Amino acid sequence: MHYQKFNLIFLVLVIIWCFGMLSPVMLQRINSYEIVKPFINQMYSTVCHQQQAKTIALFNEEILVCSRCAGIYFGVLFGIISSFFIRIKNNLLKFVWISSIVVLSDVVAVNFGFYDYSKIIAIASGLFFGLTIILFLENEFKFFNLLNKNEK
Amino acid sequence: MKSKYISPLVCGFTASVLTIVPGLKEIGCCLIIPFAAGFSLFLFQKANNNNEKISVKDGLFFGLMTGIFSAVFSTALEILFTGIFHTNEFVKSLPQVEAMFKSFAPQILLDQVFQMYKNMAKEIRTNGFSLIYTIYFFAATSITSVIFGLIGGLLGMAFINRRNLNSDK
Repeated sequence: MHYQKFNLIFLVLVIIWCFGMLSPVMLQRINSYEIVKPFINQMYSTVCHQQQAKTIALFNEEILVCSRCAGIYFGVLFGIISSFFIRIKNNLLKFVWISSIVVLSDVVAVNFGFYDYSKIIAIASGLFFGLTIILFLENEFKFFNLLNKNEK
Repeated sequence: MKSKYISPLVCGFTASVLTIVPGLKEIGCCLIIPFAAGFSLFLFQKANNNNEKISVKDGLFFGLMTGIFSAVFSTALEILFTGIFHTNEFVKSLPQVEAMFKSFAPQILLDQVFQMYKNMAKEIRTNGFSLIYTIYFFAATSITSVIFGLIGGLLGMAFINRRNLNSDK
């Protein structure tokens, strides 16, 4: 029961976060949004470089984070939703390491000029990373019984 | 027992530097603050030679403190750079907001908020400091830093507990 509650709260928070990320696209016709946009933009700039060339644009509006961050957040969102339906009993640490290496390799390769930045690769690697990290976290919580109030 | 505040302070400061410096921010992006929060837990355990299971409470505490320290230092660095250059990203992006704003029908509340933005930009250009901008920046930064710090604290807890379990086997 604890896990379901925890998951539900986390799901709501991630949905709010993703909505904020997509707000320039979804709220572009609302006048008052433009006045709060600098504040929301400032919030997201704390955790993303927001480079124009690396950001996805939908309906002529750019979202508030880069492609990789968008991939990570959507990966986390899919991970939480899937955790309601799927039970994974294996230790996912290996997958977390693999997905971290994939993300890191892409960052290093792009920064050292081995190939040009690709939004598709950035989204895909971010998605994989976000998905594995949230499923790993969920699994560890269950394995160590961390939400049990009588722990320790 | 070493203080629970030292490692979040060190990691929060490092994270704030990494999130403010443009070149470095590109590499770490949204992983800087969660990593810092997780690393603060790791440093605390190392400093105390402790391999006990970390509780959710501790994970959240270290994440929260790292997020708060990161926000405080980021604001301090922002004040410093704004004071030196008499401009910042907010001032640079204001003409864009103004262009959008002019296309709207006048609304009293929005006009007042926009006037406040303009005053902030004016103060920054003339004095290199605006108290309202400082509060605005700290509010925006602290929300995100705390959220990501908490997530990092939980992730750090999960990694460290797993590592300790594997090393005990």
